Amino acid sequence: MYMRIFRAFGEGVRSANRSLTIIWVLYGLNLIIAGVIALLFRSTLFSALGSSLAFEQMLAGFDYSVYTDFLIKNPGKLNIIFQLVVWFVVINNFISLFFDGGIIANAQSTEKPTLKSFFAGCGEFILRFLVLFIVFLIVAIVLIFILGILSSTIYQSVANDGATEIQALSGAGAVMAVFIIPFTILILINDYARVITVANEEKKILRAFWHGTVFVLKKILSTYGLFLLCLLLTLILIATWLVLSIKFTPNTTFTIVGFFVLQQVVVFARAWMRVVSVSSQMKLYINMKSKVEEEVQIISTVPKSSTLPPIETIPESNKLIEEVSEEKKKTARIYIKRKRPISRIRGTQIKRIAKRKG
Amino acid sequence: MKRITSAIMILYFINPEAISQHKIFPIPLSPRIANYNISVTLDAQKKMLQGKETLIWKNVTRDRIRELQFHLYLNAFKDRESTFMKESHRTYDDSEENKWGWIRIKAMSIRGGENLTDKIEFIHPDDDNLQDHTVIRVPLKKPIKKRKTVTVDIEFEAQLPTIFSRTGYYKDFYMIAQWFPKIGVYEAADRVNSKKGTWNCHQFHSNTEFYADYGVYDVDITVPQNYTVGAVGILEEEQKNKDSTKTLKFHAEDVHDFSWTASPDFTVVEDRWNNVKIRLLTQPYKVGNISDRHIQSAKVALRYFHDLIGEYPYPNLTIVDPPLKAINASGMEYPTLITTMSIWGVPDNIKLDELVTIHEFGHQYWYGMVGNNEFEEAWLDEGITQYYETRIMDAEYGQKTSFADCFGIQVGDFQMARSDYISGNPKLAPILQPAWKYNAGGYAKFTYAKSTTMLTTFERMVGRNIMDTIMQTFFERWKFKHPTTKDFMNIVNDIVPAKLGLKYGKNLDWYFDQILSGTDICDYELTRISIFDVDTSKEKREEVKRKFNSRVLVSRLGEMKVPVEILMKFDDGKEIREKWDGQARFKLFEYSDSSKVISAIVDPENILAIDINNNNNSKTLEPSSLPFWKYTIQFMTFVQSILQSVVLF
Repeated sequence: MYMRIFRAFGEGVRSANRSLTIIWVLYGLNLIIAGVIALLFRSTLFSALGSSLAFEQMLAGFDYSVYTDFLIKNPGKLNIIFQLVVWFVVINNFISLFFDGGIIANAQSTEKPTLKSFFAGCGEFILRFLVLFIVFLIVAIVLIFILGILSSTIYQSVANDGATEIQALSGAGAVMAVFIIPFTILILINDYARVITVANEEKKILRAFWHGTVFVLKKILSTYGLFLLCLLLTLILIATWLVLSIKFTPNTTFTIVGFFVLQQVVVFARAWMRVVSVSSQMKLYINMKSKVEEEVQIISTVPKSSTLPPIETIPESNKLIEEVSEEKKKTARIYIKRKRPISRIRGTQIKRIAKRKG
Repeated sequence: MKRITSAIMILYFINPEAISQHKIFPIPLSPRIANYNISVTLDAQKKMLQGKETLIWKNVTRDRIRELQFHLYLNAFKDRESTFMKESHRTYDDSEENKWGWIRIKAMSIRGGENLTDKIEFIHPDDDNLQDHTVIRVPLKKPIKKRKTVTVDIEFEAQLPTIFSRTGYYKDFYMIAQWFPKIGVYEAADRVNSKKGTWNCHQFHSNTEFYADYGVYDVDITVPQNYTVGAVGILEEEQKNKDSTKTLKFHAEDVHDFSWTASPDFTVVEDRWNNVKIRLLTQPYKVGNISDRHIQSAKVALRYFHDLIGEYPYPNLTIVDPPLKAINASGMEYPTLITTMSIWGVPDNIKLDELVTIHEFGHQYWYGMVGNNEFEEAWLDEGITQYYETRIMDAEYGQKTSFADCFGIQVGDFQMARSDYISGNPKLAPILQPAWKYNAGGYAKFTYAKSTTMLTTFERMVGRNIMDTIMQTFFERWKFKHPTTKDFMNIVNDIVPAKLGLKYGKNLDWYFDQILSGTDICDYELTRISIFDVDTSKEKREEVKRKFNSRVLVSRLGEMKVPVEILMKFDDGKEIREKWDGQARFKLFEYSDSSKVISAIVDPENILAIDINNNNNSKTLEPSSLPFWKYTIQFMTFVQSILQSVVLF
């Protein structure tokens, strides 16, 4: 199991490393959105404190009095910016949904992805992912409702009456665990449903969701294990960012710029980690699929108009598992497991290596 | 020997109680007007108290007193109709978890005299609420003559409430305060500026605390044997009874209240500072780091107050750390006993434990020994106590970090107090008004926060040495005597002109009147720096010397008027300090020089902590963009992190 997880993770890393252009896109968009909000923030600060010497005290470190005097005298200004942050978080979620299509599609390709293929993947799957999100939301609401009913009982049984902080925290922790574990599984199901949508070109979303559910629950140790590994690495990056922010107090141009660069490295690394995480899921799914793919070797591209050798001449070992209908045989197109016509695949030499079950 | 005998004889005739009560203080510290002998039994099943009280009360005035007035504080919790519950605006319904409380006098009589039981009458000196039963009056057939003592025997029972505010129980934890019939304070005629004295016995309000005369307390407390008890005063004797209870005898001298706590779950931690025995009653799981913090901060407070104000005369200090669900009993002061607060799991660099312990100990000096009327002039206790709390916290743990230094956020205790004052509506109410007249939130804001800011500003005006002299004088002159704001002001007006001449005028009434009695705010602004280039080419043809006309405009935005200093900095490094009396709406300073003003600051030494906006106190023509970029970048990375973390779909 561990090998499976690390293998999928390794492949996800390789896929991400091939997709640096995509990661730059993700990072760039993140930088632009945050930059716009930050410039507004700067403008607000400057208009309130621009010519005051008070704010220069903050260069040496946070000053609670300067901060509170500013907040009290400018109550609405920062609220507007924080509201903007909330809106951009929502918009960012949709953008993230859009990008996931391209990331997952590129993850299953062995070719180096380009921006064109990336955005093609984004566009192809966005609507399906949106529908999938609605399904996820409905299930999440039902889950919250059920867990909410149970949470009081869970709290009471663990915390007793919560007479001490330790009891109260234990109760709260138990409730959180009861919420977190099902919710993370639900998020995984959603993630793998997306993977399946892309991998199987699934147009029926409920089926994709169902397959995702079956896959995650059947392979819970591997899927959850991979999730925890990616989470751990992400948390390490967040912790690094936090430690940098707390420990260092930049107060010169050099230290401020240097600190900025360090922080952006962490942000970039998190963008990379996201692609790794999504790609690893795709890799894990591909590696653990129950169906066996035959090795299909295609010598050359087959133009639409040309005729193919009859299917009976294909060696036994290369036969597809799936039944090819008579009608399809006549058209002499060979469908590989993903039911994608060869003509949609570029390149002259394509090898697909299948794994036999067991 | 003869002299000593004579002294004792004289002492006996002046104060018969003095000889019999030479247990802690050979010479009484206070007038010992209200002395109590109480015997109480806690019924742990019914959560009730059965008590017998003997009150020995002295009429120290010249008046013939025709009635007695008592507080029955526990009746504040008897139902939703009491003045306290109506004013508290908190929901509290009788349920499994929440129980009402009350106190009932079963019998009252003058020893060797009339039976007063049927004469008890509820009164409402503060409002028309007939449902409020927290004050009674008892008319006397035979008035108490001047300088005479009366002994009143009272039998009472009390139902303890679940802890809603300060007193009551949670399961087996009891914090028993304001639990016995307590006589009010009869104030002499000269005290109330009247021909005749009067009773000062207010109803129990949501915002008020307490006021009582000093005396000696001898209290016998009977509790189940497995309970640990802490109380005001010292434990003289512990006796096990045959019915699985035990009786503890406590004795306290020169105090004006008696409270106690009991629980079978306490762990006791003891320590000592000089001659003071410190006894901490805490929860078992808090022994270790948390208990150490309470003990250490108590020692810090003992040391500071000993050095700054005067000696702590009592031999003991009891600190109670209530359990989590009795947190409403936390953060309270009683003579020689304080309840502190701690929350397990809160990191050490959030100094909540230290703040509460130091604050509550500070009350020992002001509430405990100076003993002002907390109903009518709460700031004299809470404001002065918080002033010292912020001073000690900032000195001990850092001016900018004394409350919190966590994840890069630093908050000083005084900074927090000041921001409590300036936030919301700082013009809502004056400091000097009866505590029950504050609207919601006003009591804490003005009695604590504004008073602290006022005193800190005053300290910065006159200097710390003079401030310490004032407070030491106030303490020494008025301990055990229930002073008023006027008494405090008299000391200020004696000392400041004597030390500083006419720097702040003949007296400081102009300062304190504005802040104590008024609602004006202080806000000085450095409005504008204007530079005009003066063409001097016609003046000197040999060398064209540039000259600038610099104008600095300072404005008074608030209504409060305080003299201020303004510091002007020129581009050639020169500095000029100007003084302004702060009376007019604005003041213009003009300079004609070869150098120009590049920055100016109103109140450069930051004396006016009471200024509600320090950010507008300065201006510069050459602002540095570095701090803005620093925080812009930090904010940007924060937003980047949020965008990456909050991805729900």
